[in-house]
Amino acid sequence: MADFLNMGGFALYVWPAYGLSLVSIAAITFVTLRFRRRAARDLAERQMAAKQAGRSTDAPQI
Amino acid sequence: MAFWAMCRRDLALTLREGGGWANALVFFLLVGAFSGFAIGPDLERIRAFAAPILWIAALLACQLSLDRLFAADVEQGIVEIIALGPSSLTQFVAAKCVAVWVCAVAPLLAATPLLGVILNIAPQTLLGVVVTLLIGAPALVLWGALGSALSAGGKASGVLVALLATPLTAPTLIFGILGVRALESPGGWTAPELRYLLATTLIACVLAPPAAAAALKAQID
Amino acid sequence: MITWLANPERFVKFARPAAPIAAIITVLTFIIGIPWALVFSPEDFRQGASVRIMYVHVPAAWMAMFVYTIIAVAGFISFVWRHVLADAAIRYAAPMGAIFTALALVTGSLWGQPMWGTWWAWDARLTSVLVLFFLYLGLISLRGAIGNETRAARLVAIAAMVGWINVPIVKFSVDIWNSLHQSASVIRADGPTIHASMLWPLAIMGLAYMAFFAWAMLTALLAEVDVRRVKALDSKTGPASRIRIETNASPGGAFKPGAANG
Repeated sequence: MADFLNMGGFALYVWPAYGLSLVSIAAITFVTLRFRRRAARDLAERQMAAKQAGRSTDAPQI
Repeated sequence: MAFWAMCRRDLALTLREGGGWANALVFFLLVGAFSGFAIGPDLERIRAFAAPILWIAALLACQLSLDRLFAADVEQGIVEIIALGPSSLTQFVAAKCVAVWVCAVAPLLAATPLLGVILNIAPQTLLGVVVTLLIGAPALVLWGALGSALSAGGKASGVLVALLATPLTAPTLIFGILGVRALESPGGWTAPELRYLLATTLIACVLAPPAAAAALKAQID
Repeated sequence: MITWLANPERFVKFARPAAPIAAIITVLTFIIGIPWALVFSPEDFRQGASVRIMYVHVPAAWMAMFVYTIIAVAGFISFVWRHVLADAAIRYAAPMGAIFTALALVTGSLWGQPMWGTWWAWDARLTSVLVLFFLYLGLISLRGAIGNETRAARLVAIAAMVGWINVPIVKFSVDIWNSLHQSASVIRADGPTIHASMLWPLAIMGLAYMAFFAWAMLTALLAEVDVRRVKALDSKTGPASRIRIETNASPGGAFKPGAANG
């Protein structure tokens, strides 16, 4: 395990490279999912309100 | 015909506004002089850096002096009038670039020997810088004009123009400096670097005016 | 296919099932690729374990170029046909591309330091990727500087297309510039021959990055379709709800039904 973490003496370079890549991909994932959730929630709210008001719930042309 | 009329109008406007055309020149001299402070008083070292400093100073002066190139024309509706009229916006952009070259770049070229002397430049190198700037500076102006057209309507700053235009000028800068180096040796006039430098200018001539015209069209839509 | 997908309904029909598939491929390839890259792939006889940086560096560099190509194509579609989804694609792809480009540069530095003895070499590839990074930043700030959405779409599309044409010219110029004083001490980190035992994990990591980008784009564009539906619904029902608010504030509002159409 220690050998693995040591990366043949290149730990100082290999782990930051993987860490930064991971953090970036995680950040993109987080932002994308949050955007998707919020957009879906906003749309559901509008459609619910429209249904209660008896208006058409068809998705309008965008 | 309309093209030269537009050129004359821009020239007259720039000269009448007074001082505006000198900004690029002053900025050019300032960057050059301050590079001297940064490098230190060792004349040999300054000489080694003289050509790159002159090129960088010219590049930045071209980008930063163009930030308001089209802003007034967009706001005052001049662009709209030209778009409706018989002459194309591409022509308008080209006329603007010619006016900028005459008002801002030509003085800058004239001041290059002066700045070169301060930077202890070798005569052969100075000649190289002037020649490469003559070939390459139109590309700097054209890409700067595109950056200016793209950012004309927004709450844009000169920094945005530089950010948009500078990456596009990278090949011109590279071949400009390589051209200076080529001209330092005898027979450098036939060096391929000079032809490549000319090519970057020609590419800018073909691409930048239509792109800037399309951007101006989008600004008034 | 891209223009066919510009129709939002067709796009949603395609993206709803495609996004989870891309997500599954992303997760699977990362699960296979990361252990392979970190543990099972062989160490380079010259570079030792530092060669493992390659498995995150090269895919990031591929994505840096691939995403800009996507942006240029989307820019063309956005400019010619004014498709809103193409513009949205640029809007979401540009920051992602900038992140991939930054990753390529930083991981390249982390690889270069132990191999070349320097964080940065003015190598042709590094330099052109750096210019690419500035092109990404220009696209992002241009979008931020323009308030009007339609206008921003057209301007960003123009900037994207012009920038893309310039990328090969930049590459050509730095190649020539660099070939004039190539330092012989530089160990070519990525030689022309790469052994299959390294190529496989690299290909899988590349696929992982590609699938991840596909998932993120599809998901963001699905969200964008929803955002646009919300805006469309609001513009339909908006005035009515505004009247209700006015009614609360001033009783006179209820007697002006004509205002509801405003």
